Amino acid sequence: MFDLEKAVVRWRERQERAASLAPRELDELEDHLRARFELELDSTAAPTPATAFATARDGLGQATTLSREFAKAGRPRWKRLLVTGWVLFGVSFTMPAMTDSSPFGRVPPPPPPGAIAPLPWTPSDPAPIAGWEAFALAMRGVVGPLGVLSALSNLLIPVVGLGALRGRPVGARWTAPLLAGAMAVNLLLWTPSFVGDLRVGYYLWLASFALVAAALWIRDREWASASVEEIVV
Amino acid sequence: MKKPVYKELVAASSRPMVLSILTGGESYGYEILKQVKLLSGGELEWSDGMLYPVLHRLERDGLVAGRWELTDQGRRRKYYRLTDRGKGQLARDRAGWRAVHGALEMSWGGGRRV
Repeated sequence: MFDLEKAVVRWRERQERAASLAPRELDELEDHLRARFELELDSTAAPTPATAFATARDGLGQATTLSREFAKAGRPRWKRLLVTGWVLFGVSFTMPAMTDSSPFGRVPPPPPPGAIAPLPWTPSDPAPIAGWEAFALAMRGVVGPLGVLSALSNLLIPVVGLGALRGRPVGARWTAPLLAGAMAVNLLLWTPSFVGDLRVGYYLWLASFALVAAALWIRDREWASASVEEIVV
Repeated sequence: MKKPVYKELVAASSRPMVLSILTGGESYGYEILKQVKLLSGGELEWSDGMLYPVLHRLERDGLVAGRWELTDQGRRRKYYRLTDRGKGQLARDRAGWRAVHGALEMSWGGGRRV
């Protein structure tokens, strides 16, 4: 016995698997599918409901083709933000940084031979190095829960971003707030000396979290099916 | 049998066609498709799925505005209406298509300048 509701659910699942069609787009296509199904049922060409449904479904075309056409309509604005965030994240580690002006920086030079008492450490001339080296040194200096959280937060950028590109990630609702939280944690690292070391790279690094969080937030909104608030009864 | 209107022409005419149909009032995807078939006497063959990306593009460009509504059957349906910007675009499209149509008619010797 043909069950229209089950057939529609199966169709939606197949569309979601085969293409990156968002539920809003699928809502619209589903409305069309049902209308066409009713029309086909009334026609003499479709002897059974199953045949009518198959005709209506095939009439909509292949999921991948539809997805491509929707993409041409400029749907994934979140993807541009995500990629920009990734680029900033990568670039932030290549920015030149100074190492000698903070306790997070280069290890203090050993006291001169023969010195009776260890000399208090004074910054030597700052030496420019690559941002990732400065970051590694800084992370070595950052200890405690804040340091650990900050170091772990770097994993979020590639992991949640790749998850979003591959399909609807699990927990899409909390990934954007999580990234925003990670940015807040990293903001707590701010001290004049720390920022002085990492300089513009630090701000780019922070901005990358904001951009990826914004991208995922927009994506989550676009994925959300037409909500009740949007529907005018 | 070869289709009377090839796909490039169908694609090129999709914007003025949708905008023209929406001058008659708010409508939704399936209804717009039926209108296309009716107006063209079945000569313009639009695949069912093709219309929706077109509608989304028009909405992105601000030529139409969409809103969701619940049907009597409790189904979610998106209705589109023509915006002021869309009306302006339609006027320009109409002038363009009339110029093309007029020139072709003249070149084929069967028409008068419009």
